[in-house]
Amino acid sequence: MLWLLPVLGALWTVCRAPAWLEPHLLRVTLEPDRTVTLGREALWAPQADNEHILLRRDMVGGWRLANIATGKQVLWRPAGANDDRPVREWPLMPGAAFAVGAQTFTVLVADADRLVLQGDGRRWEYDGIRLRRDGQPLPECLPEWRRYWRAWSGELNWPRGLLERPLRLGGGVYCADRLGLAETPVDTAIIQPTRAGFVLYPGSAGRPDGPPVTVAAGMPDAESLWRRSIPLAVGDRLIVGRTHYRVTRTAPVLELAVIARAQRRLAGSPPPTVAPMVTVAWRPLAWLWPSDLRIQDWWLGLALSPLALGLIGSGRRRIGWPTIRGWWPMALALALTGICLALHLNRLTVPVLWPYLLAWPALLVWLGTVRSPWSARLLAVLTVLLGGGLVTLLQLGTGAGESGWLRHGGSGAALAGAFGWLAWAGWTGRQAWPAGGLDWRWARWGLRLLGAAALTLLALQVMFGDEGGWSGLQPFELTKLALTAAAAHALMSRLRSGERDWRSGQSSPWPGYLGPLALLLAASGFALAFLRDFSPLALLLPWGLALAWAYLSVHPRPVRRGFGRLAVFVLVLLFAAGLAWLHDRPERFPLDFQADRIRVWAAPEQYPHAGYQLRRALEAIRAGGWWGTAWREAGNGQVMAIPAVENDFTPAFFLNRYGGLAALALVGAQAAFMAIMLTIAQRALKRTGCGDDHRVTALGGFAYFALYGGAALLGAHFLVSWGTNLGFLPVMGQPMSLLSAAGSHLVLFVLPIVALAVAVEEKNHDNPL
Amino acid sequence: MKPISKLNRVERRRIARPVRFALFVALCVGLLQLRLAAIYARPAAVPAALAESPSRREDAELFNRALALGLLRLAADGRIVIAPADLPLRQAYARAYPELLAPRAGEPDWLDGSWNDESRRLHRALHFSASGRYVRQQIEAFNARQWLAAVRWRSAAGLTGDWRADRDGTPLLLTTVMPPRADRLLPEATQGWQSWRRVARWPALAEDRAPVRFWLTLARPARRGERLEVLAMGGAPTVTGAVVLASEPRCLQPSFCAEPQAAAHWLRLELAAGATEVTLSVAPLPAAAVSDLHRYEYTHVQREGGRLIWRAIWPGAGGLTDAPPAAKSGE
Repeated sequence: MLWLLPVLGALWTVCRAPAWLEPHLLRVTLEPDRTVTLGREALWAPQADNEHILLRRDMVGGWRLANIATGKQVLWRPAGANDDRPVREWPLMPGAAFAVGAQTFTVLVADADRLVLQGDGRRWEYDGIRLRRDGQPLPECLPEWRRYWRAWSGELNWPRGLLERPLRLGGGVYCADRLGLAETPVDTAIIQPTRAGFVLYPGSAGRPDGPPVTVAAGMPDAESLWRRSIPLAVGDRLIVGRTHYRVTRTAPVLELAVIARAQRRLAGSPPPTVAPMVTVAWRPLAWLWPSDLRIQDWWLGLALSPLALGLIGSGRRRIGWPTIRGWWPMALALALTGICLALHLNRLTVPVLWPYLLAWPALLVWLGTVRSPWSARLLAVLTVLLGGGLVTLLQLGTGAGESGWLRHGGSGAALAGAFGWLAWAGWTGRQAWPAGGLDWRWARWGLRLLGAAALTLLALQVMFGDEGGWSGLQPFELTKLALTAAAAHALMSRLRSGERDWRSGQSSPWPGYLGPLALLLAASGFALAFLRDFSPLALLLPWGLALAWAYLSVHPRPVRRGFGRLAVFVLVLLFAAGLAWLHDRPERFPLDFQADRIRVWAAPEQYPHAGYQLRRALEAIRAGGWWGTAWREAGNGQVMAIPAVENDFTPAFFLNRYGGLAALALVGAQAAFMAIMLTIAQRALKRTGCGDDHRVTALGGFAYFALYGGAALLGAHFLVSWGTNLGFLPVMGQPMSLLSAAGSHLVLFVLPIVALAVAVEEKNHDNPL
Repeated sequence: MKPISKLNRVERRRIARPVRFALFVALCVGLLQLRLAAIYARPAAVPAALAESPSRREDAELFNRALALGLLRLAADGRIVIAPADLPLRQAYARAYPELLAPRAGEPDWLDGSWNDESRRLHRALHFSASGRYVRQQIEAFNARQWLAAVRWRSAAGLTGDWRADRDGTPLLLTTVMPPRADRLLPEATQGWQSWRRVARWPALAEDRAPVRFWLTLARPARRGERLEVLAMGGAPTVTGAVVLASEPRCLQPSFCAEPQAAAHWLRLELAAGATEVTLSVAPLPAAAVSDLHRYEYTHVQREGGRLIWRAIWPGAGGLTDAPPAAKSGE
C-alpha cells in the first residue's frame, strides 16, 4: 500500500544518516582566580563568535560569565524565572548614574512605570510609552499610522504591556522613543521597561569599541556595560549564539548540559581537543530514547483526555448512546492530539522519530475509515505528498551538521498528526453533533465564525506582529481559508437564486453577496499596506480566475457560459504574456515597493547580493542533477547554506538531494492531487438540481466552489513555489504546500480543505444518486 | 421541469475524465522537465555580460551613487564615514521640529546637501538591504587598513598571557588576521612566535594622534630575569613594566632599514620578579607607510589619487569572493 512508501523512505533516511555525535555535557575546569575565553569551537555552538564568553572563577569557587562578543548576545534565564534576558544588563536604581558617550545621566526616580533622568541640563521623563523633556511630551518619531492607534488606546488606559516600547539612546533627534546624543549612533543603548522597573541594555548598534557606555559612573565600581558579568547557579539556562545550555553543577567543576542546537561531529573523526580546560561528553543522535527526561508541557496531552471524557459524558445523557464502546476511540484520539501538540511545543528537545511515529498512524486510520473510492484516492495522494514532505524534512534534520534542523520536520509532523487525530475524533463522534451531520444552519454560523476569527487574527498581526506572522502563526492562511469559504457561499447563493430567477424570468442584482468582497478587500488591502508584499495578490489572482471559470461552467445560460469561459481563457493568456513582457522591461513595474524583486528576477547577474538566494539554489539544483546526491553523500553539504531552505527553498533542497526525476514524480503527484480534488468538486455538484431538497443543493454548490477555490489556491502555491525555486518567477516568499515546513499553512489551510473534500465525498457515498 | 442542460453531458464527461486527468498530469510533468533540462544544461560560470560591465552590479552602483550624493564622505584621516542610520528622521525634523535636533559635536554635518527621493531610496538601500550591508562591510575593511598597529611576542620561558588594547580609554578590538607579507618583518623563522594581535577596527576619535596602548597580562607572575621578545608594528614603542635590553627597527623591504622607514620594532624585554603586566604604547602607522603590506589582498573600495573607486574583484586574484556577509537569520 502507498502508506508504506513514506515509511520505507523514512527508514532509508534513518539508516543512511551519518553517524552523528552530539555534545551532551561540557565540563569546564578552572583554578580559582583564573579566567578562560570560550567561543564557537570550545562550546560547539555553530553560530557563536570565535571568542564569545569569558568565564571567571573567583576565590571562593563561584563562577561568573561575561559576554565578550561584539555583535551577539548571550541570553540568560536564572533558575525559576520565566523569560530570557541579556547578560549585559543594568537595572536603573534611584541615585545611580550612567554615561553614554560623553553624556552622563543621573537617575532621579525609577518606579515600576516611571523613570526620571537628569542629563544634559534637562529633565527627562519616560513612562514606557512617551518621552518628556522638561515636562513637554515629545512628538512621535515616524509619521506612521500606528501612532494614532497608540494615542487612542493610551487614552483608553489599555494594559501597558501592549503599548510599551524601549527608549533608544543615541541618534540625532529627540522624539517619543529616542533620546538623541551627540556623536552616538541611534540604538547604542536602550532602556527597556520591564515588570520590575527599567533596565539598561546594549542596543543593536552598540559595540564595545564604539561610544562607551559606563554604568555606575563616578562610583568606584564603574565598569563598561559591555563587561557586565552574571553569577552562575545550578538550574540557570544560557543561550550562546542560539545554542541552549543548562547549568547542572558548579562545584568542583562547571558542568553545562547541552540542550539544543549544538554542532555535531561525525563518529569516525578523532575527537578534537580545543581548549585544555573543557572536556565534552558525547552521545549519538537520540532517535527514540530521550536523553533528558525533563520535558515540559506534558500536561497538555493529559489534560485533554479528561476534558474530552467530560464532554462526552455530558453528551451521552442527552443523546443516549447505545454502546459503551463508542466513546473510547474519541477519547484516545483527543489524547493523541494533545500529545502531538505537546511534541510541537517541545520540538527542540524531543527524540527524532516521536512526532513521525505518532502522526503517521493517523493517516493509516483515515485510509481505513473512508469508504468512497474518490476520497480514498485523495487520501492516497495526500499520503504520498505529505509523506514525501516529511521524509524531506527528516533528511534536512538528520543530514545537517547542527542539531537544530530536526525541529522543522518534527513540528510539521506533530501539527499534521494533531490535525489528523482531531479530525478523526470529530468523525467518529459525529453522532454526538447537534442535529446529526452537516446541517446548513450550523454551517453558516461556522462560516461567520471563521471569517470573524480570520479578521481578528489579521488585526492582531497588524497591531502586534510583522510580516513574519504573530506569535508563531501566519494569520493570512486562515484568511485564505475564510476567503475560499465565503466566496463559495456567495457564489452558491448566487447560483441558486440565479437558477430560480432564470426559470421565472427575472434577474436579481449582485449586492447582498458583499461578505466575501469585504473580506477580499480587507485581505488585499492588508497585504499591500502592511506586509508591503504583492505575493498574496499573485496567489489570489489564479484563485479568482478559477472561481470565475467554475461559476461560468455551470451558469444556466449557455451563451454566457461559452463566452465567459472563453474570456477567462483569454485573460489567462494575457497574464502570461504580461509576465513575459515584464521580464523584458522590469523598470515598467507599476507598484513602487518590491520593484527590486522584479529587477533581480529580470537580470540576476547584476544583483549578486539580492539574488544570492536564487543563485545558491540554482547551484544546488545543478549539483543534484537528475539522480540527486542522496545516494552518494550522507550529509547535506552546501545546500544547507541557502537562506530559508526549510520553507521557501525546500524544493531546491529536494532537487539537490533526490534529483530531477523525483521532482517530476512530485509534480505529477501534485497535479493528481489537484485533479482529484476538482473531480470531487464536480461530483458534489452533480447533486445540485435533483429535487427540491434545499439542504443538499446548498451543500453541493458550496462544496463545488470551495473545493474549486481550494484546489486553485493550492495550484497557485505550487506554481509560485516552483517558479521561485527554478527562477521563472520572482522570489515571492510562499512555501510549497505539503513539502516545506510551513505549519500554519498546513494546519490552517491545506488540511481543512482536504477534510472538507473527504467529508463531502463520504456524504455523497452515503447517499448515492 | 426543464432539464438542466449539463446533465446531458454527464455521459460524455465520464468518458473524457480519465483522459483529461492524464493530460493535465502529463502537461505539468512535461513543463517541469523542460525547465529542469534547461537548468542542467546551463554552465555555472559567470555570464559574459557581467565581465564587460562590472559597474552595473548592484553594489558598485550603490557605492558610486551614494558617494556622488554625499551619503559617503572621506574624512580628514583617510577613512570613509557613512551617513547615520536615522538620517531621514533628522532631515524630516530639520524641517518640522528644528529645536528637537540633538547637538552636533564633532561629526560632519549630514543635513547640508540636497535630500530628495533618490537620496532616501539610496539611504534605505545602504542600511537595510543585502547589497548595502556588503558595501558597508567593504567600507569597514577599507577603514581598518587606513591605520595599523599590531603586536606579537615570543617567550623562551614558556610564559602565556593575553593582550588587550585601548586608545584614549576606548577599548579596541584585536584580531589575529594579518597579511602574510608581514612575515617579512621576521627574517628568522616565525617558529615559537605567538600569532599577531592587530587592531581590527578604528573608532573615530577627536584626538587622532593618541597612541595605542597594548598591555599583556601574564598568566602567572614572572620570575626574576625572565625574558621575552616583542615585535610591535607602529611607531617607536614606549615600554612600562619591563626593562628594554635590545631594540631594533624592522622594515618590510629586505634592504637596509633605518629608523624613519621602520614599520616595526623588535624588542627584547626583561621582567622584574613578580611582574604580571607589560604595557607598550605605539603610535599607529598610516596606510601610506605600509602600502606594500596589502599588495595581494584586495578590497573593492580603493583609493586612487584623491578619489575613491569601487573595483571589481575576480575570483582567483587572491581577493575576496563575492559572497555576501552573513545575514541575520530569522528564527
